[in-house]
Amino acid sequence: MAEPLLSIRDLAVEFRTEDGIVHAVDGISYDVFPGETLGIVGESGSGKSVSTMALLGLIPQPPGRIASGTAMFQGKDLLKLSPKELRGFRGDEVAMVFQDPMTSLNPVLKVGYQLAETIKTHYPKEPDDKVKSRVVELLRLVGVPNPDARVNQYPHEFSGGMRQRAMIAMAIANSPSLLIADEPTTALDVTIQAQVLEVLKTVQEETQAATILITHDLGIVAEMCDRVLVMYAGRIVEAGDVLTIFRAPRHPYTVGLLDSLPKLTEDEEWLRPIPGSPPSLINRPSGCAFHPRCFLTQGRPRCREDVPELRDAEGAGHFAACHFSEELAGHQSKFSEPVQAGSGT
Amino acid sequence: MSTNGDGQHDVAALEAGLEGWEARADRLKLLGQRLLSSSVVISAVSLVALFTPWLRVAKVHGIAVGKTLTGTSGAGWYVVIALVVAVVLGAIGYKMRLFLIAAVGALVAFAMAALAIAIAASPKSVHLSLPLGKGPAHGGAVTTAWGLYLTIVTCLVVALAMVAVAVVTRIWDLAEAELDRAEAVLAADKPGLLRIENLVTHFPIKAGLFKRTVGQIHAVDGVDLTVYKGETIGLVGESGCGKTTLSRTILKLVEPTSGRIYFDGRGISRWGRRRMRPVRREMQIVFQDPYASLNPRMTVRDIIGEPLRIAGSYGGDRGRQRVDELLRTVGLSPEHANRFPHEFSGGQRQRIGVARALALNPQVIILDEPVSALDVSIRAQVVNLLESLQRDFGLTYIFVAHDLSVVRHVSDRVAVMYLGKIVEIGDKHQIYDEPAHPYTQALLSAVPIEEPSQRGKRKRIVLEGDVPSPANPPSGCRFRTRCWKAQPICAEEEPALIDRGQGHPAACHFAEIVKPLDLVAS
Repeated sequence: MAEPLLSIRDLAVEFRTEDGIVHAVDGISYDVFPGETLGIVGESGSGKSVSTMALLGLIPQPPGRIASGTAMFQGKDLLKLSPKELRGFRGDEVAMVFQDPMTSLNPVLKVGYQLAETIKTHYPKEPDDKVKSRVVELLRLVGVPNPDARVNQYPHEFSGGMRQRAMIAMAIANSPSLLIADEPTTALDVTIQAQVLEVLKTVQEETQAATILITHDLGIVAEMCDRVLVMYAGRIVEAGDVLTIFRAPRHPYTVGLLDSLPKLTEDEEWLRPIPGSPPSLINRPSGCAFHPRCFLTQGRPRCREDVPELRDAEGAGHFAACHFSEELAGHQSKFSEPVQAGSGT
Repeated sequence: MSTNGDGQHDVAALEAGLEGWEARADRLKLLGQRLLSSSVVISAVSLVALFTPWLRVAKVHGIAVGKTLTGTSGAGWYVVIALVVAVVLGAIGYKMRLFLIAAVGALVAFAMAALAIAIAASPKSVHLSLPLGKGPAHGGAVTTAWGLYLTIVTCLVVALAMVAVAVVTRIWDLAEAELDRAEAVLAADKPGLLRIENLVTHFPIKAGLFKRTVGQIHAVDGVDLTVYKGETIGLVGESGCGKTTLSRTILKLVEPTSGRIYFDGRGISRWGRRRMRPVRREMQIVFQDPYASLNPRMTVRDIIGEPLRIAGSYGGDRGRQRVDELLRTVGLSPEHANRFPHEFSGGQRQRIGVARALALNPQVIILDEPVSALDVSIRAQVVNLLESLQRDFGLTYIFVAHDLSVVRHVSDRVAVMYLGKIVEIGDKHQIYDEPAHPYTQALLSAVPIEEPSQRGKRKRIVLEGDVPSPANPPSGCRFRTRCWKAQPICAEEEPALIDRGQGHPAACHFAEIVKPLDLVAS
């Protein structure tokens, strides 16, 4: 396998609150390889955003604290860099697209100015006219119509989808080798979401950047990602390539998540929800955090006592953190067989 | 519409008459408002004059301007008070639609005018000592004859205005009564539990110093919809398409601009708050955001008990028992009743919202994005709960959502909205498997695939551009600006929502079934 671009080991992030310490991310390790799209899925509070914000030093400290871990990127540990060194990476080698395009653009500055600023911050010697033509080119790349006029407009003159395109343009301005997209389409309507996802795909092809796509929408994962990490209560519970995860999940949470989704192409009498609700990250259940909601545990004490490690499941590169994942052997999710003609790849 | 031969003529005539009466009623309503506001201006000028000493004494060419212009200034408090009383009575009468109150207002103004005339006309020998002051002949407070004459004119103007208000109110009231009768007759004939005809809801856009209305947001623009008892109808569309406004207008949380709403044999389009109250008992709503729709300072018992309390059926043990029962119905435990909303998770809060909606045994529940704010693993729980409640209580749902998979799962029929109009409606198989309108096809094809192996195997229709502004919708077909099928006719003629041979109605001149969800072999 190729050398990973980003290698995270044992990352833990905590937040001090009045009620106690919130273990937002609890010892996760993963690699991102050049050019791939890694999806991180999980519900709100599963730590999927925090784990990537920590890389860019975007965790407010205090109340946050990076309790442990390393994140090796181009031979440097991102977690140990000084703020100044980190600034050199942010927006250049590592860039981020945030969820809400309404609040992440500065309303009093022209869109073109904000894009140029991203380039000028990292390459101050770049001549102005070159930066300007680059900005127009970037906007054209992300599909903003009439980019020559659009550079002189303010964010409020852009629609939601256009703003998100501008955000993507800003993120790829310096051709990053790692692009982090945190719920890039959650605030958008489905037809606009489809447009923005298309743009993300084009941009990836164009820049060959590795992408971490954080989302709660399994459809987007199915559409975009090569590999998936499933997070639950601050830990990775399953990791593997996207086909395997969707067809033959080996962690009961992933199984439950896929089963609870209604299908667009088929009628079902009842949905199969996961019982209970996500745990508090202050008083996380002992052992496996999922055991109170799990159909597999059947009261076995091991689930309550031991924290399961991520270990090999069926298939290469497929890992699941469940003591009894073998019992799911042969399980196929309801997404395993295509509804209509045409079998899998 | 009526089917029997006899009723048909009547119904058609009534329907036609309805429009006329409605226009008349609205014109009268506006006229009443104008009359009232001009009377308020006249009285206000008097008041200002009274309280502006320099204006009262200012003289031009020896004439006291203030006194002369306002007339009432010299006459003292009494005229002003009388005018205010008259206008207030007029306003109350207009608002309550009781013309007699407005008539009393007119009488007060007339009495004042009469008094002023009496003073002006009193001969020097008769010493008319009225609280108003003495006439000019006696060197009283009203020192110029012009002032007194203008007092008389002001009083008469206001009095006549109030007479007009009373008359307008009476005719308006009659028009409303006529409308009401017609609606009641028509309502008996309407199919379905809830029927909406040509419903329009516009919101004014106000701008400038005086907040003048400069335009209209066409949030809902001519929607016809019939909801049958016991079914779930899904309303889908992108944000800004008017699905939420439509659902709120049905409940009359937003006043319709025009159009008819019939619910369970009653025509409720023009009903006021008081008359709507018993209707609201039968139509409830569950809101999208379970964090914003529950009062954080109320216990769960108070929240769920509030509808009971308003309906006057909370009294004593009965209410407590009902709340406990409701909590069990939605899968919570009665011990939860004394807790506050912040102690619950999103899914549990939404259950509380559902329990509140169920409290008065409604027939229809409008579910406005009930699961959008919930986590994926919780959504299925709430969806299942809603479905089992529907079976147990025979509820009718209007399910507003943008998540197309959830809508398919819960709905019997689906209506697709675009820019304030329904563009396609049919049972869920027709909409999902055989959509005829290009917008529905684009919407369905934009949903991310369900499984990674389908990647690249679904025909993707990526729409150009954004939804146009509802303040200035395109002419003809509203979807034409983004439609790949658009022809010149689309800009000229608005396509009707009719079946063009696809088995269900679609508002497209070139309706044609395309199956966007089918996989194409690669």
